[in-house]
Amino acid sequence: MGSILQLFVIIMVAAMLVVIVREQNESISFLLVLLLGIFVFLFVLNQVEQLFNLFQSIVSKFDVSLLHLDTMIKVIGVAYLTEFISQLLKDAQLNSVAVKVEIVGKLFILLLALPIFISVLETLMSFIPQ
Amino acid sequence: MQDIYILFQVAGVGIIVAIIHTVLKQMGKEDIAHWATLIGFIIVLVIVIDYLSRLFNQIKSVFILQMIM
Repeated sequence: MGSILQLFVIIMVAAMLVVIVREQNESISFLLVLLLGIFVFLFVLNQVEQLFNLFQSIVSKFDVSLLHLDTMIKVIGVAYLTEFISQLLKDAQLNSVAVKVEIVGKLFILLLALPIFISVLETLMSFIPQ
Repeated sequence: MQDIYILFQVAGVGIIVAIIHTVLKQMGKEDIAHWATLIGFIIVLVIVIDYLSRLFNQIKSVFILQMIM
């Protein structure tokens, strides 16, 4: 979709469209906002993918032992998605549901990060002399 | 670049549906007006869900979330 300036222009135009459509009917304006969010997310995903490919190539080329790179990428993905959806729900004046989505997201990230906690605890325990 | 047209199309559908709704209400056919609005909403919903599924597939591939999601 080209440079970031193009993206900002698209966002501004879409924002004006949303303002117009919101007068007429509320429901379709919410779908328009959702569509705009999806486009921004798709645009960002392309950039983020290049970033992660760079990390992976660094890890494989210089065999830098980034132990939990995969878990980190997953956590970033879940966090980003949860934030995206909870902001949308807040936009639709569904704050209670947004809070629930955030709680679920945090729990999911905790589940993802559990093995890291375990490995940290094990290393700590190994320092303590039996 | 073609994504902008989708935004315009959705906005156009929204406005046209609103106009149809008011015209039908003036003609006195209140219930048909509500049906027209509903159909317009469904059309837009189908478009948005198509993009939503495309987005979620890309998220799964980028963030290596295959086995979890």
